[in-house]
Amino acid sequence: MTADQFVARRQPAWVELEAAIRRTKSGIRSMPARDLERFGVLYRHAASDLAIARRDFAHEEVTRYLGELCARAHPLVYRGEGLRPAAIPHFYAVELPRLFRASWPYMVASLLLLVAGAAAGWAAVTLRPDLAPALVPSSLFDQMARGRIGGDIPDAGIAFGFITTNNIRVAVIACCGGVLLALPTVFILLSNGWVLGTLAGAIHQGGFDLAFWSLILPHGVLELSVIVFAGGAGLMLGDSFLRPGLASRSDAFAGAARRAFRLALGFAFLLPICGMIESFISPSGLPRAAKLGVALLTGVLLYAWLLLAGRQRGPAAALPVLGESAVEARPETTAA
Amino acid sequence: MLSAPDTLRLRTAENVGIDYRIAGIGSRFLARLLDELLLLIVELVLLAGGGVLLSSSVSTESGQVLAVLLIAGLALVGRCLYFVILEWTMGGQTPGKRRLGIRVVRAGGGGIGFTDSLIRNLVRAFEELLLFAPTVVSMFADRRSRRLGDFAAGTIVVHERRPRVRGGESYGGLAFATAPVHLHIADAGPPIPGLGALGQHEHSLLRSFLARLDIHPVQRQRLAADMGAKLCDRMCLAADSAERRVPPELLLERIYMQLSQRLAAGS
Repeated sequence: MTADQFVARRQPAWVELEAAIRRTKSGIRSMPARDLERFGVLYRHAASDLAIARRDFAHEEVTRYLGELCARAHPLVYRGEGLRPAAIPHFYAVELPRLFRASWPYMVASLLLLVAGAAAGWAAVTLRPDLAPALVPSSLFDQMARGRIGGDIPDAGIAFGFITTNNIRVAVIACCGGVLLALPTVFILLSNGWVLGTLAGAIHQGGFDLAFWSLILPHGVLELSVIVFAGGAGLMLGDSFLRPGLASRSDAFAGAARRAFRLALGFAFLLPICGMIESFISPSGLPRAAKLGVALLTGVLLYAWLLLAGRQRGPAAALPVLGESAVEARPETTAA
Repeated sequence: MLSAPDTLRLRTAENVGIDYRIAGIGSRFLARLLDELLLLIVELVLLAGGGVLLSSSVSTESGQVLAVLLIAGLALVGRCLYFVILEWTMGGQTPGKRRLGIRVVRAGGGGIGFTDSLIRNLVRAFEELLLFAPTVVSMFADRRSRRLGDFAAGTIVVHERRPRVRGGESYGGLAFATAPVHLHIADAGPPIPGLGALGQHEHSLLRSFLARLDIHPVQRQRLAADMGAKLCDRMCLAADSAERRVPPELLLERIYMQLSQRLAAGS
């Protein structure tokens, strides 16, 4: 068979496939069922024609053409999972808590880093009280001393904006910092712990513990949890790159990123909630017992959900690898 | 067949290798620039509109501060969503990418989903925070020009080749054209012994030679003599055979015609 004969025989199907590609702007989801079936048939024909053309007509124009045709059609046939609104309740009820529990070593490590920073800060202030003014903003300390804790935040709405933005920034650095060997993650966990530790230490010396903790804890339980979770996700990313195991580094990294970002994005909804508590409840005139009650309530709810939801009865099945489709083309390992 | 260094061959579920040409830092930067310009225009219009509305409707100072923050926040969210939503709904493209003819696909060649788009653009926000230093380093170092967000999402950015019509007929959008062959002789002449040694490969070669009219006649003759001698050797023709005395260009045409007949009959 000559190339011309090959083209003459097969071309109508290619032209049809081209037209179908042009009709689908973004995906084949909106295609009617009959066209969809036809699209699959056309694509498979084009793919097998490409294989024939590579063997018989390696240097002909038609081979280049078929390669491009298939490259255009392939992403339409095979694609990542879409966002299915119906899957969201299941994600929060089952998948996210399971994923969280499966990543416990990273969460614990992240928590330990935060605690280490806090302990160091506390120790620094306790051991060197003379340095406390340098470590803790004195204006804040003066306010504490005068018993005016948090009373001067002018507008809860503005505070909400600032606080939430700042929390998002910290969480993004903690999580995405994982892509740089988790160094930014470690740094932001330690430094946030340090700030908390120095503050708490200085205030402990001043004897305003209850006032301080009733100001911090209502939102702090959620806020610190989110930072720890984001840090855990970041550590997971960094670890996958440093210790990829049997997979190649980039494969291990991509797999971990899928899990880490599912975690981080899943917990993102907590940020506006703790921003809300921080700007409307923490500085309010509510009795301290009520504020601490809020802290307790949020903590119990959060961890009851994360530790208890989605548990399987009976023998534990292997955790499915989330977000990875079963069939996908892999890059050729040997040089083509 | 050797592939160019910026080409990635992916083996699909149909067990066929599909070549993707990796988009480098240049075209990706340009695409981004176009997107940023577009965003800037939209944002300016929105901000100006919001400002006019604001000054007329909100009177208290803290209310205005709040409203400005709100608008700035919306603009920020809009920036992030622009890339996430468009790459998701436009099949891995944004207006800038479409203009440059590049597209985000998964590392396995499939189209990207919402999560992929979200992840790669979220990490981009972080790369922005670091002034794109790790981005540039990683794109230069990686054979597939991936930035950190691509690593995290498991995506690559590829060129979608534009139609390149080179004379002749064009077929549909992707367009390929096989230039017509020009022959000087009408019939293929007596059968050449040893033609069986030639095949598809030689046919392709002859075809592309005979389709080229833009070579200088002297060079064309020299090239034809060279090719004719090599083909005669391959067909194991004796040094004094009649074929070796035919003008080389005509010999090539004869071989081409006979080979075409044989291949066409053999299908």
